[in-house]
Amino acid sequence: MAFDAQLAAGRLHEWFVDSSPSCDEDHEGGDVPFCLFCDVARRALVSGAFSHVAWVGMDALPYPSHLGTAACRASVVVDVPPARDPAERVWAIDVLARSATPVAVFARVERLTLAHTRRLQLAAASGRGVCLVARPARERQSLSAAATRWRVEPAPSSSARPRWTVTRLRDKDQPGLTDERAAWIVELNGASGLVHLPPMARDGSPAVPGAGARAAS
Amino acid sequence: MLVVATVAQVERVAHACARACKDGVRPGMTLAHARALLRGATLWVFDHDVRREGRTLAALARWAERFSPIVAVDGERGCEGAGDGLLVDISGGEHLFGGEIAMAAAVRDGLRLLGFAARIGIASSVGAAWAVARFGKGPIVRVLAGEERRALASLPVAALRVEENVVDALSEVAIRCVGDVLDLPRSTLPARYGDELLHRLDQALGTREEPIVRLPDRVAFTASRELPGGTTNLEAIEGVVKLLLAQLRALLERHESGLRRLDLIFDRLDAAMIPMRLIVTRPTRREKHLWALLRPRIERLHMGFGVERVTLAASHIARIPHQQEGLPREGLQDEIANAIENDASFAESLDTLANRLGHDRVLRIERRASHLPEHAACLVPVHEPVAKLVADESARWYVPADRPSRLVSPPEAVRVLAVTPDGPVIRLWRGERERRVVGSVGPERLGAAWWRRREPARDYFRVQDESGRWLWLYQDRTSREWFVHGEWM
Repeated sequence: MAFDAQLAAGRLHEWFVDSSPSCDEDHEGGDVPFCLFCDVARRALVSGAFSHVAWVGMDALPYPSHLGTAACRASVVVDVPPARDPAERVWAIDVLARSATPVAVFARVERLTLAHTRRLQLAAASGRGVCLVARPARERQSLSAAATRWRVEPAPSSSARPRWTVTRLRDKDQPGLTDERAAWIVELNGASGLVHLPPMARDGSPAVPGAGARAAS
Repeated sequence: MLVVATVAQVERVAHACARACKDGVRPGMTLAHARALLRGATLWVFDHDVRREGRTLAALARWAERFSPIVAVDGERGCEGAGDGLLVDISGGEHLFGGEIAMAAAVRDGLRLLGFAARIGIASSVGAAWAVARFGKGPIVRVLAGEERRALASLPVAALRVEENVVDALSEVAIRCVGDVLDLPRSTLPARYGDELLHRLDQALGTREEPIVRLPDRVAFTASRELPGGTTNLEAIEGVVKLLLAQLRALLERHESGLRRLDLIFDRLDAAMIPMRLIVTRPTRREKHLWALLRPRIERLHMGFGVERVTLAASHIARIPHQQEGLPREGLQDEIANAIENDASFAESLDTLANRLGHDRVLRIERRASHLPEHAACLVPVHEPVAKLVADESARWYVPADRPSRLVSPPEAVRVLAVTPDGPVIRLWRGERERRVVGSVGPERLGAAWWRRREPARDYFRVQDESGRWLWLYQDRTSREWFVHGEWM
């Protein structure tokens, strides 16, 4: 897949799920891109770059049957209850990210401050893993030290496969990036559980109307 | 073959082989008497070694833990306080072996392979099982619940586990069977023969509780240090714990083992004992790691008037394969070494998390063989070993594709508008919000698990609403109500 090549190891990546007004964005786990997280976890394990997957917070844990047998075996769940102060979750992510083992850490955290994100970015940089943190959409304007920021929105699909629009909002390595130049429409393959670019994007046409050549790379 | 114990300069038979028993030899008989009965036969006589017998019984009790977690040596009976049997609580586990008789046969066969002959009694009270194992007819005797009185009636009084003088006293008035004792008025028994007879009688009949106290956990490696006069100095205590950790590491290293569970016990001057238990995800003997886990707890220790003894006990150990260190790592060897180190490092991170958050908060996912979505997986603490049965089951079990990425638990009731009563859905109301359904796939029928309880079947649909979000809906086949059970997010 094109966009997950941008998820560099040793970095913190933030994800925001945009729900339409008709959706129930307030329910637990309503702002976690589970399908994309599962896809990244599976690909990370298959590539051999990561040996373990950690899910911090029960609200970040996807349904195990969707995750698949191999990823389930490599998974560890750290049940840190949601609290007003995210310090406990930040500490748990920090411990896992600093491990000498390459671990892909997935978490959902609210009310992160700039200091928290700096700590997580430093932890990810000092370890060999990668941190993907889902945050509520209302925190998208907050300051952060994350290497990349992503937005995920459900996209209408004419096929029987769920689709999402994935937009890269920020990349520290490419400061001049804008929304229009880095957006992908991705589709879930129900049989494999993996996320792919739909055929219309694979043949070289823009993934999202108005997007540049990067969408088909 | 006779095993003989010398009591008050008299040699008495402690145990006799089956052949000797057949010729009339009984435990307690003098050796001279036994020799007279066995005249003409080749006789092997051994000294009774109580300690060795105790060690053997303890080893057999550990062996028997494969049949039940609650096993005890039947102590204080036989010669000089040594046990002469095992007590096993088989409640709830007998079906795993095909029933009580099959389980007893498995125990007997296992003991036979180890070179021991065994008589087994099964009953709902320890006393009745003890009696029929020693005095019943046949190598395996089972007493059904409620049948204790009838089963014991014909057995000799000694089957009640009473002292020899009580047996003799009863014998003098021609009371030789348990049935005769049962016929006596209960109120007269304590005055005539002491409290023990009634106590044992009630235990045998199951009217008085007699718990089986399981063997204590095996403590293989212990290090301890006394602090004469006691101390409340935290630095001194920390120094002692570090010293003990080094001793324990040396012990474990010598045996190529690591600890899974560590008990740290502080004996305080005011007689209070403060235990601390540490459980680690995988066997380890790394002092630095163990100290990092122990230190925050020791800092919170309430030392009272002072701590006078510190004990470290590795109460659960496991073997750590020998690892070569110091050789240049190249190629495959390098990869293997990295994998081992990586796993150890990850396990240490999990220990750090579990030590602060609690062991029930660091979990792994265990797949279950169930087609019902809510029973397809469960979470278990990472320090619990993976059951082989579950691992095999997980490998074999068919996992249906196209399951949602998030399960709504419990399922959320929704109102729907469908083309026909059985679907497909064209509009749904989740709470007060109305959604137009633009796509629907299904139904997929999941039947009820009839062997558990009567549950209605469900018809599942994957539906897409106007915003592009996919939901996993089902209709209860009995109540015809609709629920959201999952989402693709």
